[in-house]
Amino acid sequence: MRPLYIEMTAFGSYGKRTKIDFTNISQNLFLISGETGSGKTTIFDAIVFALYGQASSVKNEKKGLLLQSQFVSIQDKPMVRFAFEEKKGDSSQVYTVVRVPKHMRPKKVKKGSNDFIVENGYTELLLPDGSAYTERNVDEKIEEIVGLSREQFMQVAMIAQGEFMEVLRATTDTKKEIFRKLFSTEIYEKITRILESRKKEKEIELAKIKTMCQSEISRVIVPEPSNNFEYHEEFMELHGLLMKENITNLKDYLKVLEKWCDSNDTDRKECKKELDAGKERLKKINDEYAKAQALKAGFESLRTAQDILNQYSEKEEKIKKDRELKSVLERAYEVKAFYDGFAENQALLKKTEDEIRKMMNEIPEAKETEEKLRIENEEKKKNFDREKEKYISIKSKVDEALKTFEKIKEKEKEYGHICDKLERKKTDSDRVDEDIKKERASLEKLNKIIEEYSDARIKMEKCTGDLNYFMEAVRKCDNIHELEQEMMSLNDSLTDLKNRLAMAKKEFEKQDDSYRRLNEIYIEGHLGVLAKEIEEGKPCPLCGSIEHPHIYSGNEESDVSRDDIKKAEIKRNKCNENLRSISDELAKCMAKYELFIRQRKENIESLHEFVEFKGEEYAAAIEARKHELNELHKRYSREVKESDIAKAGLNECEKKIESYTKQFEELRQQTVVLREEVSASLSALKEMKSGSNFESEEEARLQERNAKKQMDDSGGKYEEVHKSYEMAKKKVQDLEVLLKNIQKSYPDMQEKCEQKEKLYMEEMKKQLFNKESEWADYTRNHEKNEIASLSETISDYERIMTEAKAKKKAALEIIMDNEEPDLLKLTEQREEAEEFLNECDSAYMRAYNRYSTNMGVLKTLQGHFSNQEKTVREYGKMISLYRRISGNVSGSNKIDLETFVQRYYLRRILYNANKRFEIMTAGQFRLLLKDIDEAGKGKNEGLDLMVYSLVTGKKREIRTLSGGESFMAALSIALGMADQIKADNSIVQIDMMFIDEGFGSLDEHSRNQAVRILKEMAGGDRLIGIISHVTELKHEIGERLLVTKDESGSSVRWVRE
Amino acid sequence: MKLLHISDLHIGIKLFNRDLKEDQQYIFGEIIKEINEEQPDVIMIAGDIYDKSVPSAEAVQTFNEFLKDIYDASENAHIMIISGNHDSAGRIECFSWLLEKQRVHMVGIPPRKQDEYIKKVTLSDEYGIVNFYLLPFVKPSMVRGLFELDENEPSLSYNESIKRIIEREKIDYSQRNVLISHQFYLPLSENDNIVNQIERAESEIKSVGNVDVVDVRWIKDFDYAALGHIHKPMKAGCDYIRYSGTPMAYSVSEAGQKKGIIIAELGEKGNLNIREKILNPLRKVRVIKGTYEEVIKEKTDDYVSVYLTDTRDLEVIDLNETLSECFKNLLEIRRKTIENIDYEIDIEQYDYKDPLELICRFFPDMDEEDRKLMESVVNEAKGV
Repeated sequence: MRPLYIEMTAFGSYGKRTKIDFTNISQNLFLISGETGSGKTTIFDAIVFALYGQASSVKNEKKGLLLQSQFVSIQDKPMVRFAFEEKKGDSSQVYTVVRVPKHMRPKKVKKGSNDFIVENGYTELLLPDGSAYTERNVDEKIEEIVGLSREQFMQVAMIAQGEFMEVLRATTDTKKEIFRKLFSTEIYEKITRILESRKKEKEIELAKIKTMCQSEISRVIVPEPSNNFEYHEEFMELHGLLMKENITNLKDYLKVLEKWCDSNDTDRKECKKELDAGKERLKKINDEYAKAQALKAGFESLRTAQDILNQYSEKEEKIKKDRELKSVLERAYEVKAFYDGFAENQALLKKTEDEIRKMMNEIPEAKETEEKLRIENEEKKKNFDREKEKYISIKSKVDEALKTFEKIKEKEKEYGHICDKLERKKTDSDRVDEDIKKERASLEKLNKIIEEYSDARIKMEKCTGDLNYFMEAVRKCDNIHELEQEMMSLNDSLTDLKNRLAMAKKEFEKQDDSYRRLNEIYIEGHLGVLAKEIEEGKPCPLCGSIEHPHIYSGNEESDVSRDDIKKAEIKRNKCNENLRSISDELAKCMAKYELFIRQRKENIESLHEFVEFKGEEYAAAIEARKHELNELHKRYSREVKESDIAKAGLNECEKKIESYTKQFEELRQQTVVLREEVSASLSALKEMKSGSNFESEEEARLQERNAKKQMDDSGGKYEEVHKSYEMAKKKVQDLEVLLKNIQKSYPDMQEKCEQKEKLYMEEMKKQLFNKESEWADYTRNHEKNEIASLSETISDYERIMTEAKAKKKAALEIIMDNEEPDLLKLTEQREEAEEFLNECDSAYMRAYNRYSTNMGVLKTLQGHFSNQEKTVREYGKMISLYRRISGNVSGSNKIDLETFVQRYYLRRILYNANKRFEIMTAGQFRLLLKDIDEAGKGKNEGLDLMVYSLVTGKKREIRTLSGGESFMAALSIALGMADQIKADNSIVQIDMMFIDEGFGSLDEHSRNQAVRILKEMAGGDRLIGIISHVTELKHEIGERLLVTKDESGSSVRWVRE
Repeated sequence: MKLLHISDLHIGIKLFNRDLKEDQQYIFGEIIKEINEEQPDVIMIAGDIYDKSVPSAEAVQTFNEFLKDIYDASENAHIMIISGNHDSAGRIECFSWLLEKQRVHMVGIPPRKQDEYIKKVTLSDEYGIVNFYLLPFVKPSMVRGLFELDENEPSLSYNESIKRIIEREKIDYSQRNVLISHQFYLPLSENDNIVNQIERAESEIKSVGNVDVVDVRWIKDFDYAALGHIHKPMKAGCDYIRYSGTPMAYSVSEAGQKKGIIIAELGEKGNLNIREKILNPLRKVRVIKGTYEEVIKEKTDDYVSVYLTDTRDLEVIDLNETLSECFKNLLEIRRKTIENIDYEIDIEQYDYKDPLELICRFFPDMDEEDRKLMESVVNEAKGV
């Protein structure tokens, strides 16, 4: 499998999505370099994680939450996507694995809360055809595709930092598992297990045999010391051994058991003899006892019979009396029976006589009624026939009439329809007529409106013109308004200016005053100074006169200097200017104001054109006029609108009128047609009605009904009479018949009666009664059932007596001459004999049991014995084989079969590895397997490696290699394994190798060799990636993947020198 | 004009972790002697000055002395030096502008932008002018800028890059032109498999998959091409396109090669005379084969790789010491032993083993019954 690209998001130190493409490099050997902690190993972690769910290091497991990057917020989901291709024959198939580890994400529910929940990761696998693998065991599928488990992958394809020693130093057991998959030696493990299971089976068999034997042996009935068995001690010893422990001495035991069985047999036979003897004796005693018992019984019965006889002899008298009574009663009742018969017959005869008499009276009456009824009957019949004829004729007439009435009805319906139609048409035309009238009316209305407003348009236009013209005035008015406003403001400023002017004037005057004063003072002072200097005869500096009559004697000293004066002058001038400027402004304003007033006046005057007003009331006037004009305008425009509407309406109206008129015409025509139809149908109707017999249907039916009713009535009456006539006839007949019968039977009855009497008399005589009263008494006093009870009692007595007699006789016979026996003694004897017999019996049973059991045991044991021998032998073989195969033999060789086989394969790997190892170590070392003899001592070290130094020719353990040497050894072995895997062309094809550090522990020469070897390997199609910080490697290996890390996480970049 | 062509000095190289400084200095002395003798007009060093891109201080000093000696030995000669794949381009280029003023032309960086061209030094002799083109080691990524490639487009191959660099120079081949270059030129058109036939040494850096191969026909029109990179002196397709090879053997694989320098005398156009002169190193690199007994008889100071042919186990405790005494500069000891043979036999025979046979091998003393039992077990395991 060869990696294509790997993409990491929020994984380890890679915050944002980082993709590393392995397909774009020119050489298959590349270096991953970067600063410490920049994220180089994380790339490998990502690859291993994508495939197996855990980061690369075997010792330092990282998975799940540990892998989530801390360089981005929790929002970003950590994910690794890894694409690789598998070459199957010529084609290569691309698989993509996306794996998300267990990570934390913020809770979506509350905003602003800092809750995180841990969400489980998931894995997706995309198959080469683009579909996703949807089974649950994605990890297993990936492992299947790659062909190696994680541990194996870490040995062969990825040599993690600091962990390359693992294969070297792993114990044989660990190595065995790793190689099992590589070399497909599972079959040997399977063989071992099968052998083990078979061994166990055999063990179970043996145990079963043992338990069976033991159970059999436990059944053996052991000899008691009392049995005086010869080999008693021996037997017991063996027996005890076999019961407790194993059955190795089975053979001996069997021999002894046989002997014991023989002795059992003899015992048994003896017992049998004794038993038989005992049986005999018992039999004899039993016989005797039986006899005695019988005798005793006879004595007993004799005694009882005697008792009874004594008892019953007392009753004899009473019994006799009873016998007599019984016989009398019997006779009496016989007689009675005959008497009863006679009495009955007599009664019957009497009754018959009565009946005959009655009937003789009844018969003539009945005959009379019969005659009467017959006459009536004939009358009624005649009536009925008559009525029937009448009815038939009426019915035919009525039928005809009904038909005619039907036709009339139809015709009437038609007529009705037509009339309706006619009516409807009439209403329609009326309606239409009305519509027309309405429309005409509205038409007139509209016309009127149009006339009225015909000139409205013109007027409106004129009004608009006026309005426009008038706007001028409005504008002017507005102007005036503006002007007034400005004037007001101007006024304000004017007043303001005036004030300022006043103030400025005041100021100026003040300044002026002060200046003058100062000047005076100064001049005075000056004058004073000058005055001082004035001398007579000298010209005055001022006026030049020589004479000075009035010399100024003023203030000489003044504190006013020329400067002061100048200052004051300046001030005064300023004020003056100020004043002047203000006055200028004021003048300007005044002028403006004047102008405004003039303008205003002009405007107002112009307004007179438009509107009349007085003086200043222009505004109101203008407003009024404006309002007026607006109103007019509105009115006229409204009129115009209305007239337009009316015009439109006018057209519509006219159209409507047209259509209505058309409709009206149509309807009128239709009406005419219908009227004709109506008259036609009416005439037809009249015809029909005249040609019928009956007035109406009703009448006809009524008549029919009447006729029928009459007929029915008479029919009913006839029926009645007929019935009663018949009945009367019948009655008469019956009576006559009856009478005849009775008369016939009467003489017979008489005879019978006489007979009966005779019999009775005879019987009475027979029974020895002379008079009736004799036997009648008895029958009255004693019930019939007394006879029965009496006879019962009698017979009981007789029975008992006979029984007792018989018994006595029998007993005497039994006893004969014998005496009464003593049973007790006999019973004792018998019991004794029984006991003895029982004892014998049980003794025999025991002996028999013992014999039979032991024989049975003996036989089965013999069977088991042969079985056991065979099984023991087999088991012995199996266990020795198994021990050897699984390396469990104590003492020597602990190498098991699988290790042995794997050694062969391992040798091949070491051959390949040594090719490189020798080069790397400059021919010093070679890797070997531990010697097979040595490797089995103590524990299974069959796969442990040794280092053979070619220099010294000696072997030493691999643990004695230095760090760098170990790295070279591990690298060589990894390469050797990779070669082996490739050569076998098995399911596994690993076209990549990543080596994480380790080069730093090599010196320059070894490192060069190592890199050279790797380059050779990469020369094929194997992708080799090296993580190293060694500077020289940057130079030697062309392609470089530079990993840098800043505050936002790691990033990678391909660098080509 | 007389040209002296050497290359691949690899100053600072270590042979099996032994410092070769002394030997290198010796061989440089020999080269100086040759220079004195021949008095060439131009001395060309075609790359791989140092062994590492960051050479040690000693290495730099050694080169310093060597250059000084060359400079002193040749009064008016021009010294032309280019960087190779072992050197650091920038470092070689350092101070070249200053050195140029003193007839030393050191070029480390090839043209990178579209307005740059190969450094050309034009000299003249009695026949006219001779143009020397100094093309240091070119990696395609260095010269991307010349070919208007997009950022994401990969660089051209070595072959294509060199072709285009030469073509864009618009060299006037009517004049005499000499190229000094350091690449892996091969006459590809002659022989397809020549890549694998070329003898490479351990001390060279080989690319993976030989991606740095360049067809020699792009430089066929030069009058002489002084090449470096291959450590064994050889021609590349024509007489006038040569690798001078290293001045001395730098690895065990070069043991026995004849190392030296090349003198090329350029007459007028078309006239070229080439001579090779052998250099004798201070200590040779040799492989000594033989049994232990034979081997210890020899004693030498040369760099020796010992290959012991003894087939039996040597009962020698201090093999290393004895051999080290004989050979002061012992590089490595290799042995040929039986186990080598054993492995081979083993592997051939026990290739695909039937489990039952292996089991029999495991239990040499199995009887018939056992065998039957194991057979049934094996069958069950196989699922038969």
